[in-house]
Amino acid sequence: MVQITGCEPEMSRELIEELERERRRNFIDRLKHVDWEVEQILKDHRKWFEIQAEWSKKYYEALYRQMDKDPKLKKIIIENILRGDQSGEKHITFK
Amino acid sequence: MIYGIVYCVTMIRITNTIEYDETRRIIKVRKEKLTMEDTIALAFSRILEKENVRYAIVAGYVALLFGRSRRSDDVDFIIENISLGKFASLCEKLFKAGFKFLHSNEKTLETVRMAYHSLEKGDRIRFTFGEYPIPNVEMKFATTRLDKISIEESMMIHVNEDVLRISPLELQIAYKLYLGSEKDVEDARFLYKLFKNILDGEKLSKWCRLLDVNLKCLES
Repeated sequence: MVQITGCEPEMSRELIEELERERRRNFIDRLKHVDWEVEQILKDHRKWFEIQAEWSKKYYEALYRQMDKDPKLKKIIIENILRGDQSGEKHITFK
Repeated sequence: MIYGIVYCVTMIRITNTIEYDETRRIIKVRKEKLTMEDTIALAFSRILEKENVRYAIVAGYVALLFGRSRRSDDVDFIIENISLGKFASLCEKLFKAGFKFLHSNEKTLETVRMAYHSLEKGDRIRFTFGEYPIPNVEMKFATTRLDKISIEESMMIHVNEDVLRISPLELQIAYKLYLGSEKDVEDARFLYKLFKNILDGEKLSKWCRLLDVNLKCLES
C-alpha cells in the first residue's frame, strides 16, 4: 500500500507535481500520435480518408441505433447541447 | 489577331489526394468517401454559396476535413451579417435541403425571426441535418475582427466537385494555439505539419505575434 505521509502542504505539492508530470507525458504522447497521423497521411492519404470515412460511418451508425432504441437519449443529447450553448460552453457528448 | 491572358498556375502536390493551387490559393481535395461531418459541411456550404452568403468554416472541422482522426459534434460556420429577409430566404433553402433548427421543429416565420434575433445578439444557432442531432451546424454572425478577417481572407477548398471556404490556415493555427486546450494544440500541430510547405510564414508569424502565442510547441 502506498503511504502518503509527511506534512500536508509538502505532500500536496509532491502529488500535484506527480500528476502534472503524468499529464505532460500523456500530452507529449498525443503530440507524437499527431506526428504519426501526418506521416501516414503523407504516405497514402487516399487510404487514410477511406479509413476515416469508414470509422465515422460505423460510429454514427452505432450512435443512431442507440438513439432509435432509446428516444430519451436523443432528447438528452439535444438538451445537453442547448444547455452548453446557453452557458457559453461547448457541449460534451461522446468525444 | 487574338490576344489572350495566360494564367500561370502552380500546383503543389501535398499528398496523393490534396493539391494546392498556389496562384489562386485554393486547396483541392479528392475524397472517394465522405465522413458525416463532410456531408453536413458540404450540404450547408452548397446553399450558402448559392445564396451568395459570405462565410468561413472555423475550428475543429478544419483539421477533420484534412484527415485528423477525431470527431466533432458540430461544424462551425461564421457568416457575414445579413438582413432578416436574406436570412429568411436562406432558412427556406436550408429547410428544403433537409436542415432544421436544433432548438425547434417548427419552420415558421416566427421561429426564423427568433433565430435571427439570437444571431443579432451574437449568439449561435444550430441546424441539424436529417433526424439526428449530431453532427450539426453551429452558425454565428461575424462579430469580432478575427471573425471578419476569417471571412474576408477565407481559403477556398475544392472537395470533389463542391466548394468550401475555411478560415486561413495561418490564422487557424495561431488561434488554436491561443485557445490552448490539448485538443486545440493537437489540431494546430496537425495543420502545421501537414501544410508546412504552403503556409505563409510571414502571416503565421504575424498572427502568432498578435495572439501572443509561440510556434515552438509545433516544431519540437
